[in-house]
Amino acid sequence: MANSSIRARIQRRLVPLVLGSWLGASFLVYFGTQSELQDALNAQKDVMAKVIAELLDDEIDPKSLSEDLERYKDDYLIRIWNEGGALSFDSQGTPSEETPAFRSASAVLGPEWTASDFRTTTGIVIQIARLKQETAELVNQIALTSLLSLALALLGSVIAVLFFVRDGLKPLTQLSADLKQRSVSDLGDLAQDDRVEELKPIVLSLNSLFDRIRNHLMRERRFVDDAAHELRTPLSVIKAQCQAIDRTMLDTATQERIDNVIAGVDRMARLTSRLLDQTHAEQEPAPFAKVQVAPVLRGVIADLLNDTVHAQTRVDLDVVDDAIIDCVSDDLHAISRNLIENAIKFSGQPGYVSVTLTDSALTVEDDGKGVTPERRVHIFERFGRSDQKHDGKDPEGTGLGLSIVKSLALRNDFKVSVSKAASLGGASFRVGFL
Amino acid sequence: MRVLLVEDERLIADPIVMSLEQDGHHVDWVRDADSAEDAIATSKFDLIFLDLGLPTQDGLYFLRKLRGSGRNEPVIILTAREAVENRVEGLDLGADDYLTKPFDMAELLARARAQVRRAHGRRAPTLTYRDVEVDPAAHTVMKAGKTVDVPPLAFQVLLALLERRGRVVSKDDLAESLYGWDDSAESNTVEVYVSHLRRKLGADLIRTIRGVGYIIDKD
Repeated sequence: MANSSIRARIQRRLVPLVLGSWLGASFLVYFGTQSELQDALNAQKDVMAKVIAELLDDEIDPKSLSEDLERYKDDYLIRIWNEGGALSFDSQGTPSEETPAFRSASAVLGPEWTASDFRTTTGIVIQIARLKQETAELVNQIALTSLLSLALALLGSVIAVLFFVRDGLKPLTQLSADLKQRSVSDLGDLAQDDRVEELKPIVLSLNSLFDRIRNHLMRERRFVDDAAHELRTPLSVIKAQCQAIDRTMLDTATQERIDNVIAGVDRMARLTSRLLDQTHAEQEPAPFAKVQVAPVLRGVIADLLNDTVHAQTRVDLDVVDDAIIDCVSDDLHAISRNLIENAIKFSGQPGYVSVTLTDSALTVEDDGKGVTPERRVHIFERFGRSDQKHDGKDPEGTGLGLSIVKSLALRNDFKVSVSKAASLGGASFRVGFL
Repeated sequence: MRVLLVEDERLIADPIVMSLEQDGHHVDWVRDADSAEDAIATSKFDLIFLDLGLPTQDGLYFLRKLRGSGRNEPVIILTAREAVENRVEGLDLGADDYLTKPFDMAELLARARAQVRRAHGRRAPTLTYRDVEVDPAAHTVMKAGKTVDVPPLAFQVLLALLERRGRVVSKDDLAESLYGWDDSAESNTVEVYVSHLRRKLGADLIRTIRGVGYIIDKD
């Protein structure tokens, strides 16, 4: 049932409904008309019987009358004029002393009557009249019955059609709801088996589209991943070649040049790390594991301080609690590296960064110029770079760091926020672990 | 001592060979896994530097074969991949250490010395810093020409810091350097040895990076 077509769903409901309401309306019209007509004809019959009884100088036993004769008494009129033109019988009363001379029915009765004069071969005139109003009433009654029935059927149909169309289109609304609730990064296939026939080709096309986008993204990520890794080989070449130079053979100025080259290589290497972080952030995360945070932070800080450009900055780690948290180890590493590297970059001159670890949060504070409240909203967006100058310590940020932090934090259920560092005066980034 | 370097990129291999030789090692350099297999079949090495991205067979394949045949030479992996999972795979296969490209030459030399010392401490060269002289082979420390008595674990910490002179060494890495001496060593055990060294050799020898680790400055 569930996976038949939308057309069948709607047909299955609408056809019985239309047939049912047509039958119902016909039934009402048929029986309503029949009962109205029967009443009218019965009344005529009774009047006729009564007239005949009177002509026979007798009276009808009221019990044998089918209708309440009084009600119809004035609706019918039968008069008989004899050969001399005198009124000899009047169904609505005895003829008066001054019997008027015969006048044609239409003349003697008002326009509200429909009358006919019948002449016998001997000259007697039989005049039969019926109130026009009676006919009108009959027509009205019949029309009312029919219209009421049709109106009821129409109302029922409209309500039912609205309901059934909505019900019939449920698979469509279900599909649209399925699509709506997918996250932007979810490119998995839609379920196909329980779809109705009309939607199967659409779902199939969507799935093939998702598949192509998925492949495309995968190729793109693999390209960035490969490119970032490939770049490290020439970087290694430059760094290793520079560091193999015997420094004792160089004058101070040349030593400085060589150090600058190495600093440039280190910066480039950090950029490749950032690109790799970015591609990893977009990939399926590795499974969660219990991670001891302090050693990760110590490793990250030691690595950063061993970069020549960062050597002048003082970085303190304060482990209040030796926290062990459930997360992806590489993600935690990338988050802390990005935040601490940022803090070093934006700290003052020579620069001080304080890193604090508790059971519930990691806080990274610096003594730089901080982040203005207006910029705090945008700082986690991609390329949402700080507009402040950072004292020439590695002037080229990639503009990716904080957006990576944000997406990595999200999938590890961390909460990242930025505020003003109370004691140091610069920026304070907090990663809540809960 | 004898070092085997397996690295396909000449421009990287060449400065490594030069630096290791300057540091007193003899280096055999090969460019792929097959040549590396030939090399270990005919010679004994004290240390192997292994690049993972090799042509035809990758480095992990060679490592698996090496350990599979019962050889236990110390192996330091050189790789462009830095993710923890890659590192774990290499270490699980029996690598002893791991260096991510682009690496620091001083760091490479320090790791080489540490591995050799771990395997057999006798042939490592003497290290001097200011008026402190350390002989890894004899396990002796001299300050201003006088022998100073330093307990074995403190000695390991001092060596690890001296070998990485000018670089911050995290407490965890220092605890790691005690591996084989005190397997239960934790990062705070290290503090005890550092304060011992300061008492014996001067307070300004080792600089603390608060909460992170220690550094012996270049000068």
